[in-house]
Amino acid sequence: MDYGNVQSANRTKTLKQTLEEIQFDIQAQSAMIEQIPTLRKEIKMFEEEYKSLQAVRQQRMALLLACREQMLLDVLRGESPDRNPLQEFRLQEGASGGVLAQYLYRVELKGSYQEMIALLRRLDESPCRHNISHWILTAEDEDGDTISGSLFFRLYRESVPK
Amino acid sequence: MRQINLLPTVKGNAEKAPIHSFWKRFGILAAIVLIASVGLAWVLRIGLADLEEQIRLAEIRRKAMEPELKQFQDLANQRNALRTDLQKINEEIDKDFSLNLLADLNICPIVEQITLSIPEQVWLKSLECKVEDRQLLLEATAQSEQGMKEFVLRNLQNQYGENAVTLGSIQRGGGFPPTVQFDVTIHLRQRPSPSRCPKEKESDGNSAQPVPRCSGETGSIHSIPDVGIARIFRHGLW
Repeated sequence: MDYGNVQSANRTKTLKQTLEEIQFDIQAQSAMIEQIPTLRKEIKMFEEEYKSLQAVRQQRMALLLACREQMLLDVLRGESPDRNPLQEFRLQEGASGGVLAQYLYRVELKGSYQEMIALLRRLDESPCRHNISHWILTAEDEDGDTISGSLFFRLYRESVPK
Repeated sequence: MRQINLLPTVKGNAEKAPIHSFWKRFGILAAIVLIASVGLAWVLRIGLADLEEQIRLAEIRRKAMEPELKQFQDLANQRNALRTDLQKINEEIDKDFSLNLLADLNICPIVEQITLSIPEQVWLKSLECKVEDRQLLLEATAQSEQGMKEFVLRNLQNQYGENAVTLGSIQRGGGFPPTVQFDVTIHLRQRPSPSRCPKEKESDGNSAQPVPRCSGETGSIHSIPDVGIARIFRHGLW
C-alpha cells in the first residue's frame, strides 16, 4: 500500500508539473491573443503607410519620367531659335540599373542676360526642372553683357525588366 | 516420602494469562498506520482525480485557444511581411527616387535671392548649384573686406541661416582700388519628405528662406520681380 501511495505521490507531482506547463502555455497564448487588436491596428497603419509610399513612388517616378529628351530640347530651344543661348546639347553618359535607366545630359549656354533668363524661366516652368542636377552661371565679362552657363540634366527611362 | 502436588489445585476457571503492554501498543500503532495509509491513499486518489480533471479542462481551454492563436500568428506574419515591404519600398524610394534626384531647386528663385542680397560693392563672378548636394557655390569680388563681411555675415547668413553659410578662400587683389576675391558655400535646406509632409505650407519662422512645398514646387517664378535678376546686370555684377 505504501508503495502504491509513493507511486500516487509521484504521479501527482508529474501531473502538477503538466498542469503548470499547460497553464503557462495558456497564459502565454492569452497574452498573444490579447495583442490581436494591436496587431490589427499595426497592420492597418502599415498598409496605409505602404499605400502612401507607393503613391510617393508613383508620383516621383512620374516626375522623373515626365521630362524626355525631346521635351528638354524644345524647352531649351524656345520659340525663337535665332535669339537662343543654347550652344550645345549632348548626352554625356548613360547607365541602366535599378528601376530606372539614367542618362546624363550636358547643356552649354552663352548669351545675353535677357536670353539667358528667358531660357531659365522656360526651364523652371517645365517638368524638366526636376531633372537638373547641377548648374553653373558665369559672367563672361565685367560689364555683365554676356553670361555663359552649363546645365546638367539627369533624364530617366523605365528599365525593361530582364 | 511426602508427595507435593505442584499442579493447580483448583479445577474449573483457569486465570487468563495477561497480555503484555508491548503488544497492546503495537496493535494500536499498526491500526493507526493502517488507517493513515488508507486515508492517504484515499486523499491521493481524490487529488489525482482532481488534477486529472484540471488538466483535462486546461487542455480543452488550450485547444479552444488554437484558432485565435493561429489568427495571431497569421496577423503577426502579415505584419512582418508588411514591415519588410515597407523597408523595401523605403529603400527603393531612397535609392531610385530620392529627393536629391527631384531636388526641385528652380534656378530663377535662387538667382533672384542671391542677387537681392548682393550689396553695391560686391560683384558676382559665378554662381554654381550642386542640386543633388543642395549646395550653392558663389564666387565674388568685393571692393573691401568690410563689404565682403557685410555681404556674407549680414546678408547671406541672415537669409540662409548662420550654419548654412561657409566662407571659403579669400584672396586680396593688389590693384587699384584693392579688391577681395572670395568664395562662399551655402547649404540649402533639405525639403521635407512628401510622405510625411502636411498639406499646408511649412515655415520654421525664417521667412527669408525659400519655403519648401510639398507639391514639388520651390516657388513660383511668377512671384519673382524682374528687378532682382535685372539688378545684377544693371549694376554690372556679372
